[in-house]
Amino acid sequence: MNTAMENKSWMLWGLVASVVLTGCGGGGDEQPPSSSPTVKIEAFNDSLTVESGKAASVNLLTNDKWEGGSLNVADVMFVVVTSNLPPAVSVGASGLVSVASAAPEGTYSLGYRICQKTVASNCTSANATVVVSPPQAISVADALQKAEQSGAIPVLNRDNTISGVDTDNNGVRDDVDRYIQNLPDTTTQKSALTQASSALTVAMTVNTADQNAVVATSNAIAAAAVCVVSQYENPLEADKRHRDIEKITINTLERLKAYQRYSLAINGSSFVLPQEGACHEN
Amino acid sequence: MRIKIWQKIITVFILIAHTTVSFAAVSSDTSLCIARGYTVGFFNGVWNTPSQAAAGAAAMARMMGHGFQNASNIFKGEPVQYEVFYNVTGCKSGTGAICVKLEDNVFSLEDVAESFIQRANEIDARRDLAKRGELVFEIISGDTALLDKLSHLYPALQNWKEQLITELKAKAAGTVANLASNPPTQADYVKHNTRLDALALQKQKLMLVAHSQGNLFVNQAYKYISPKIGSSSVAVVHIAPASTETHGKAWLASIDTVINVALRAAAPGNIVPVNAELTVDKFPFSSVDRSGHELVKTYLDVSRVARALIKDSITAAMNNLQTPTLQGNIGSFTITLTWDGAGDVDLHTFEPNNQHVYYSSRQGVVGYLDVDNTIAKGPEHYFASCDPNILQPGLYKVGLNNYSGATGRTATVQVATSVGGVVYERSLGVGAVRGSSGNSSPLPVVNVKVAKDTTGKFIFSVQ
Repeated sequence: MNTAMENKSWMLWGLVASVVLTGCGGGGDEQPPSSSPTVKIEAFNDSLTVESGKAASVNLLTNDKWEGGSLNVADVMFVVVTSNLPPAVSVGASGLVSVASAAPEGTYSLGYRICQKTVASNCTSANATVVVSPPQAISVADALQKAEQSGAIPVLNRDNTISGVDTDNNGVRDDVDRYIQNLPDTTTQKSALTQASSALTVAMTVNTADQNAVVATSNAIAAAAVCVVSQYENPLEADKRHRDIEKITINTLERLKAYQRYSLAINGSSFVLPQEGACHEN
Repeated sequence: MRIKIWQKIITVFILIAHTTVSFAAVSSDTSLCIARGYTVGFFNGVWNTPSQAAAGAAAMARMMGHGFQNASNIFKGEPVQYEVFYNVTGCKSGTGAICVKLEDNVFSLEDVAESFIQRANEIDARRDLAKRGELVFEIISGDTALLDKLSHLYPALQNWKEQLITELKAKAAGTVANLASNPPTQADYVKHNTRLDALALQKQKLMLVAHSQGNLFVNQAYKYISPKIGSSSVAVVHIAPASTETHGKAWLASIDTVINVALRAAAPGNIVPVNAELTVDKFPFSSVDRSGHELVKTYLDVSRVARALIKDSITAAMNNLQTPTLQGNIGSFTITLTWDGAGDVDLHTFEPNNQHVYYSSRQGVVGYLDVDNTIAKGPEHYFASCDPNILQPGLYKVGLNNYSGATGRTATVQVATSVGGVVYERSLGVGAVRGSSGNSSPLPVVNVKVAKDTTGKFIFSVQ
């Protein structure tokens, strides 16, 4: 490498590209053995974001430079070096990336190299990122529908009952069961979360005039909390999961009010955390 | 009154003669009781639900090395029990056990939900967003995973969400500021205080830890129990205190926007200084911690400095705690009576064999009235044997009698088990003065039912 070589970074559309420049007027990865004049060529990173269901294209060479000016596609050789693009995203010989409307949602990348045609060893390279994003919503209601359809947010029971639908009678709504089963957690962790939702369901439905029932509910709430906290290595993760289960279970205003009735019933009271046997399924 | 005092003096002499036998009969070292040790009382923060309060206490227990994957709850060779002293947010001061609604500018969780609905309907004409109760919890916790996904699809939700979070932070601080300026009264504290009395009588060392609004409650708890047991037997650690009043080490992080920004604006001068160890350069912001005010995500985060400091201060405080010297005992179950002023109110317990245990007959077959108060406020305390061979299944009828001078007072009766904590509590008027004529027919309060399940394990409930 030339001693005058320097590294520079450019911020382009949110991406940072590191390109090696030579200080002797020529550009590229190596000095050419050819007698043809070596020119300074520069490749810059590219990014294209397209909404799912729509087509779009970008030429990767448009922002690349030939002696600091515009680059003529005919003067360089374009080669794709790495790529994880899906079939619906094509790359032409001239550097044109075309995203078809059928392209699946996701983030894709490719690495490419351009070389001076007359000095084949004078090359430089850059990367491109193609993001096929979910379709934008036209309203909040549209966003809710799209997010539920794509699985980005869970589809939850919101009927006007407190307990919802629990066909397997495990004390937890079926939609909450599904939510828990879809988590990437261990079996014992999922059992702990199920226990937590069950305790919350009891809290929403407890007869607050029945002190035995209220005390039993507090004990169940405490046991579930201890169980969940004990099942995750990172306390932050336990806290997140525990709160997620609470929000998924207490997911309507009516359920929130029912939960609040129990909260008020134990206002000013105390309850202990169990020292053993907190997890019912373990 | 004079006759009763002589009766009690005579009873004491009789009891001294029986003490050895009595206490041997109610040995504490059996499976029905947890041995004396420490109670770590946790006073929850603003808008904490019971579940969140329990999880906060559990996270604290785990931080202390307890309650995580078979770790035993032992400190200096003695058991540690963690107990949540719960307070809902938004109760009007003085409403005590019948808290139903909030004051102006004080926000309960339900009112937070109503704010959310109002804002949601402003951005969503179809009113679908407002039906998503789960998003209320997201806004409060700052963990907006679901809302973020929706914002990705509909970018206008991003600003809407940020504005709502800012709004609710101010509301949280306003709620706490209001609570500080209109503090809860004895009516609100009475159940906590009665429990503290019971624990102190049973010679538990008390380590009280509070977060956020819980600091307002822990301050009164400390001031209530400390004169009774001495400051060597109770200690406090404050986390994100919502008041300048402190009774132990206080921890406040510079990034705590609820206290440092919102509460400072709502109640200037009511803020303790940020600890030098928790300034922003040593306690960087976390992307999962929006408010800087959360118990677990801010102060107990394993990756940040506050956790070790808080653990050390709790450990240091517990190291210095001394066993209370009050006269009282642990029991498989205990009954504690307090009342709210002068006078002599008596606790009466009729054991299943109809043995009547009260000031004039303190030794029962199963239990013992180990504390009798003839002057004011109580407590009176009955404890049942920890020995499964002595504890009898059946009904224990509990009553009280206004012996003298307590007319118009409100009494609180609390029943607790050694292992499970409080199983019953009730506040009620003490009725008319009846003197000793009320001994045979005290005002009924509750029946404690002791039964055995199919495995022979004792079950405690009330009727």
